[in-house]
Amino acid sequence: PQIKTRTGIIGIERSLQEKQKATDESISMAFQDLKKLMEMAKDMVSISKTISAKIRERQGDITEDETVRFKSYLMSLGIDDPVTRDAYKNSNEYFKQLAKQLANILEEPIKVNIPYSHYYTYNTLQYLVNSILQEVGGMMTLTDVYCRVNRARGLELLSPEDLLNASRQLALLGLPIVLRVFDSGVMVLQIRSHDDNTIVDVIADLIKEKGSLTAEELAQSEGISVLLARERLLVTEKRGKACRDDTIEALRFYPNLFLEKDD
Amino acid sequence: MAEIEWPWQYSFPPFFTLQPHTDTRAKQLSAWKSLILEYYRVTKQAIVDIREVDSCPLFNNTAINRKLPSEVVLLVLEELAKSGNANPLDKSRQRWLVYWHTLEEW
Repeated sequence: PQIKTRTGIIGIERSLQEKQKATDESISMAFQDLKKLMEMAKDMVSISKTISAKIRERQGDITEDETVRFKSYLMSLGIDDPVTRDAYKNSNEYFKQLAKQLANILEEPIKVNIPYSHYYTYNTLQYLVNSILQEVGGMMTLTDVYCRVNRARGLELLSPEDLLNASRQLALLGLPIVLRVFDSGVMVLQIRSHDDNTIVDVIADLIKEKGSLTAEELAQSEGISVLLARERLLVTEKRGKACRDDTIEALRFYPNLFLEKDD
Repeated sequence: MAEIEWPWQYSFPPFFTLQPHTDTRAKQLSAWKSLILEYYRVTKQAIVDIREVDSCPLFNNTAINRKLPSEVVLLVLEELAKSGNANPLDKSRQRWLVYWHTLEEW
């Protein structure tokens, strides 16, 4: 048998080589396993496709429970097949539960500040829920929510699609927060009782007070994100309470003198 | 050249940005229309060349450092044409004739 030299450069080189060989082996093993796994998954995909074809044939003959279960199978496989599934069930049970949890998570930031008591009346609870998002202005962009939720979770993170789908369920479930999509495509979660009119009035007054405002200035004075400040100004403009001055320097918003001044 | 009395809009910066809000824009355009007519009547001119609007104090307010973009000038002129107060002089719609009074009024 070969004698292993442990000393000298040859010894070091040899031990390095051996290590490399070992890692090589484990890597190729891992890939072989992956391949097998993928083959299994392929079978699952083809099975689920035939099932969805069957569902289509029978047109609502199947109980709701069955479609729900089927959907969660698809979810766990990572196959998104909404075109064929949407007709049978508006969304997955998983998203509904997630939506409920979202509502809970977003309530927490204030709950921490208020001493817990069993004696909260329904009204105070409602008030608490509403002040959740009020802490951040009654509104949070979906990206911020994504950060907040995932940072709180640590493990078993949410995918962006999961969050979006869960958010779509919020309104249907009657939870205190709802998803809102602005004209610009920016998506936010806002408290259900959020009223654009009051915001618009506040912003309009603020613009009048300052003479004119940019989104950055509003963001700073109100302590909200620039993105949301911009959306607020745009909503105010849409209601005819502001008008814009678009220059190289910035997009400024002025009181809408065109409509307010009568000539 | 006689001096024109500028309306309040002329020193209002948003006047020089086309407003996206429908009602606001209608007000803005009608203000522009009457301002253009007034200006051309007072200065006794009749021809607008869109390529030269930058040098014209009507469309370029140096005091507040704002000028009306040429697309918007074209839009206002088209509005004027609808009410019979303007007519394009060439196919490319770069030169326009402005009537202080519409032809019917004469």
